[in-house]
Amino acid sequence: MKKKILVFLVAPVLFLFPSCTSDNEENDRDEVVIAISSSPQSLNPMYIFDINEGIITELLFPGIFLYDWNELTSELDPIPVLVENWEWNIDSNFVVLKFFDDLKWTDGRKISVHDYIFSYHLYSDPSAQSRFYGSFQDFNLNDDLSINLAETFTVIDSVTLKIKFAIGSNPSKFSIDLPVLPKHVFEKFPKEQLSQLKDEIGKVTSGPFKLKEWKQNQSISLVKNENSKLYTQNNLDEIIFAVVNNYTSSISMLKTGEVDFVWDLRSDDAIDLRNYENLVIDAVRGRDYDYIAWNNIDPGKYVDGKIIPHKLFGSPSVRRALTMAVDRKIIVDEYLNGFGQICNSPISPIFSQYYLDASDSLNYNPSLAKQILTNKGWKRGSDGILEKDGIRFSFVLNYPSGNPLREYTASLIKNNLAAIGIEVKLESNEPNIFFDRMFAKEFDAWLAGWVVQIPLELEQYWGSDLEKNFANVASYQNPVIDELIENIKNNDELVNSMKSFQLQMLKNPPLTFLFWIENIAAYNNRIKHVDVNPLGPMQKAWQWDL
Amino acid sequence: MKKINLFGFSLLIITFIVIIRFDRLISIIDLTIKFFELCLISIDNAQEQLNFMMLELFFVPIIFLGSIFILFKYKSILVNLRLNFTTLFSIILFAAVIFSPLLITQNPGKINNLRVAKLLPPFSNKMLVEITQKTEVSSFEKLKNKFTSEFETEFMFLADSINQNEYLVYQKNNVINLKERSDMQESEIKVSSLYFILGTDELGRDVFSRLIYGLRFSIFIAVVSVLIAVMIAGTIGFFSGFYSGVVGDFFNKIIDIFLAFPTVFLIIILLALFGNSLALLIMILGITGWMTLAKIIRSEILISKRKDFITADLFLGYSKLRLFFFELLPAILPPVIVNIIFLFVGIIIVESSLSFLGLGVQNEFVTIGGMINDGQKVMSNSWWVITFPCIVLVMCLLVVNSIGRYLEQKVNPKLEK
Amino acid sequence: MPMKKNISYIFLKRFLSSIILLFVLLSLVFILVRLAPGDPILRYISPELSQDLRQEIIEQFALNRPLIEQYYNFLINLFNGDFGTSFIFRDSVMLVILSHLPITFFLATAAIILQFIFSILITFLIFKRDKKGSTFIETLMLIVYSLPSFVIAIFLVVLFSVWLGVLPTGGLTSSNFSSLSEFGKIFDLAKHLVLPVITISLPGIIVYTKYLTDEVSNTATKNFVLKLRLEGKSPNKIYWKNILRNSIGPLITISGVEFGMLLGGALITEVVFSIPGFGQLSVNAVLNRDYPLVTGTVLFSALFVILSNLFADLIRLIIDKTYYKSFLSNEKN
Repeated sequence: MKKKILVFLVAPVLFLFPSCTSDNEENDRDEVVIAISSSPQSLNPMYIFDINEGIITELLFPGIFLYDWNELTSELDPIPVLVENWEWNIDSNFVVLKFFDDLKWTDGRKISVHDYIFSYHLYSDPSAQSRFYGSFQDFNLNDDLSINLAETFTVIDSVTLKIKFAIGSNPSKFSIDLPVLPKHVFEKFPKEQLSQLKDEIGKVTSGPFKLKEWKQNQSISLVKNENSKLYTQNNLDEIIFAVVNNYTSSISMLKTGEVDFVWDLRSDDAIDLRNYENLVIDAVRGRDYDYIAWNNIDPGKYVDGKIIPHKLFGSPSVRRALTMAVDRKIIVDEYLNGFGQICNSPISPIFSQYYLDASDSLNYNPSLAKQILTNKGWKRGSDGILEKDGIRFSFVLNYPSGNPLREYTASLIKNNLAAIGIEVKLESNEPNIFFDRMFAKEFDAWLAGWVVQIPLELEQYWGSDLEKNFANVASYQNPVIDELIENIKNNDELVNSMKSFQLQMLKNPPLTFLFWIENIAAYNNRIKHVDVNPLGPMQKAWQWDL
Repeated sequence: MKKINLFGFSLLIITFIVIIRFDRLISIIDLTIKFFELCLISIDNAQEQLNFMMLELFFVPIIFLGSIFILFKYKSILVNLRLNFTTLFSIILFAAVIFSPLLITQNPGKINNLRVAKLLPPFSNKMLVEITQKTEVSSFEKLKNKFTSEFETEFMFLADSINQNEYLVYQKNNVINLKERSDMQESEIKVSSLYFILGTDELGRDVFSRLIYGLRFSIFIAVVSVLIAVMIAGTIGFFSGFYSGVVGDFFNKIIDIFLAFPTVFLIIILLALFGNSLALLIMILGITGWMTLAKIIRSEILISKRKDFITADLFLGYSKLRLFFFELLPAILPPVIVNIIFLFVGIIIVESSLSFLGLGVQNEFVTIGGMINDGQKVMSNSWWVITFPCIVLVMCLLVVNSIGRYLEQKVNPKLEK
Repeated sequence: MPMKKNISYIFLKRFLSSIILLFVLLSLVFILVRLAPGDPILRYISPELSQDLRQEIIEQFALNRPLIEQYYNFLINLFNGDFGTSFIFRDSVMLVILSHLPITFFLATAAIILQFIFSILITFLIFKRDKKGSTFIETLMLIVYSLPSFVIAIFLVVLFSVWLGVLPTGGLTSSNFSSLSEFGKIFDLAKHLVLPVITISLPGIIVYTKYLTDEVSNTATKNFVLKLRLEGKSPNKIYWKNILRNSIGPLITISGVEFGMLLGGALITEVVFSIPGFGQLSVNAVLNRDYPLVTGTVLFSALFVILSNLFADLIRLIIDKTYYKSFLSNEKN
């Protein structure tokens, strides 16, 4: 009897052992496995909202260009993928696109201007509800905001197309560069069904890769597309995006060689991973920054439609003092382990031409901060907290839960401000609730972050018109900034305007900019030609090589 | 080990604490006296100075004397109890819980300077620089700050080393020149060393102090939640089992509704609805944990009801209340106690899992579960942050279990073979 | 047989009351999620997206309608078997749920089987061994039980994947899965599931063992066991043939509850091992305020609990004769 039990107990253990042998082969794989933290829901360019979805669909359905990041000009240089050349007329109210003659979809059909027109038609159609809907201000539109095809597109021949823009619009290369979809595939489905398609989409592509297999919630594998302009002999045969929800697992998998590429790493792990000889650590600089927002206006009154300066944070010098009271450097040094830098304005250091190095101003200086507050009338009350006209300098700092860096920063801010006599209460919110309340401008102060868009977009975030610019969540209103934004938009003395913009942000800060956070990527050194640039660590996956 | 009795051991622990923490005990008494002096001068001012941690400190001497008094009062019982692993653990944990303000070296929420104190291994030792200004701050406030402050100030901070002659303070790659400070003329510098016996965590907080407070807090959360759960389960289980017909059915259906409701979902939706405050978390843990217990109570009552002695009692016409307390309760208690213990264990675990999912109590409260979760983030390079909370959790649950066993044997002598 | 008729009558009654219960539950959830703060269309709020799109989406999801109207439509659709379209997946709720079920079902079944086998074996060991041995086992079990499952899971990963390199860290299949032979595929899947199954079943094994040892030690003192002992039968035989049979009843009831809960998803394990199971789906649904998916997942997990309870009662009725009577009298009065 005892023996029987022993067999029972030992059998599962034995079952594990054969697996030892099959393990070492994993490193000879001829595909690259990339860990992604969330599972893509759609590969249809019309319905992608998630960064991972974006990365994958860009490899499948590029627009007419792909882009190169130009360090010198801080601009995006187009690499033609679908069009041979494009000519703007002088007033730039129309453009002529000349597609490559010999381009084919993966199924052998020719890529023509009709695919292009079809895509734009679909994107602007309200019943399709694509993510681009409502963003075609440069075009002549119908009443339902769809593009007026007859007025806009003139087909010259199957590879030449003339696009006419609305009068007074300001189109750029980005207005004509939405992903091009295969008309013959997409028109088979009713528009309302397009969002539910999975495997059907991605088999016929124009990009450097095409979909091979999509295992829902597990992995997506792409194989090279020999019909693409970007195809070379060296291209990777296969790229697999594997869903690894748990961060710690993705690190272990990188160490064991189960995955080859992981990004969005914590800096402590990056330091640890440097000890592994077969791994390369690289980082995308200057795209994400965190900030502490001080609501410039009174949230209670805003609900009633009134705009009244906030009782604590209404004054620019108070906001400056608060910035000086926070030791941002210690977070950059000790938490980010140097994978970041102090941020003073939304203009990222990657825009090297325009970037103003203001590293000396607004540095950590609690005594000066205290001084400024005293000058502004904030005096130490009997309980040690600053007071002015009977108002205590005490507020709730909200932050979204689940982000260790923000939790850490929040505790530090609480300590830093307590040291100069300001009482901070911390409150973490579940992300969905947090962002909902943030956009509703309900908070007094909160901790969050933005991603810098390329090309740079300023008006949405800092323009005074609160109705129009809902991303101006701190309700910052500054006529000087409005004027500078207008100048930047019109390219008036661009470098000067950009620099004055940054100076103005130091003088009259809308909020406390904390730091630029580098997006750290680690990959197996068997992948060659990885170009980690501001557009992302994987933007040029089609160049990779083993 | 078997030769030591509990009385001796408890006395030993108390003596040990006094020897190790003598200076802190003295300062606490000093603080208490100073506080009463302040009360005599101005009640209002004293009231403003008061906070929860201060109150706790005042109680330290009282608890201390009280525990010695109780120890001697029950000497005769304690002398007869022998020391084994369970009693050893229970006494250590008990001492940690009641003497926590005395034992800790720092305010458990205090974030030390990261340059100096980030992720220090156990038994590290750093310099604590105190700059005493001869003017301004009263000695009472200084003492109070020392005990309760949650942050470093320019008057009290940590350093790797200090050069007293040159007035230079070294913090990793950062050097502070104290001479440059305007207030140095009328100040004096006091340097002492601060030990982190169990190391520090990612925010430079002392693991030992956090552990002691976390233990206390986790137990508090679990006890209150279990009480809530037992109350609900007792009431509903009793009604559903004891009464037959519509009443019983109705309560049974209530149990079923809650059982059919996925617990995690319930917890998350409630936390999302009302924000994750402490009181809410306790409530939620209570109202999501009672169903199994209620089912067990119900089925036990149903089984007992059919037993001969109950039928006999019913036949004799005893009141139902009497029946419940004197006949049913003792009969159903053993399985219920076992379940309560598992419930207690379960609640501590659920609380830590919630921290893991980012839904736990906020970081102003320390819990063992939260500490384990903090530790698992840095597990690869700092083993101590996760190991010690795990050990304490296991110890604590072992003790709870053996207490349960002990009670089980008491109520059900049949088991005592 | 009148008994049989009674039983089926009871089950029918139970089934009907379960449906009412489900209805109450669904209505509660329907209202609760809509009252909860948070925005189901938050992903459409971004500086990169047009506000016109947001309006379109709100209209399509009917979020601007009064609650009563939404509820009415929900009920109508429900009776037609339509659970609506998930906001995040933009796909039928039914299909989304079905795609997440197989793996969860497999994990739950494997866990329940393991839990039964191991708890019976461990109980036997405790039953046979002297007191010292069983205290050791019990302490060990308690230590394992005391650790939160995420700690166990992470520990297992560190031990088996990082240090020993024997098992994969997470996911369901290797990247070269499609190129493997049929046997290789099964083996690959099994390799990926070893650690998750262990993590899920461990706490259950301990709880089961606890109940079983209590029951066994109770049964062991009963007269008929003593009689068998006196007759000279070997204790092992008595354990397997008589005691176990008489002690396993409560275990079946508990496992019914447990199985239903496991089908509702083992969230922590799924998160740690990156398994796309039902638990992750339901939590994501709540966190993203995907109202139709939330009601869908609640309906399904409630259904699992109810059905598995029914099922457990059925099994217990077949195995345990004494339960037959108590079952009848319970339900009847």
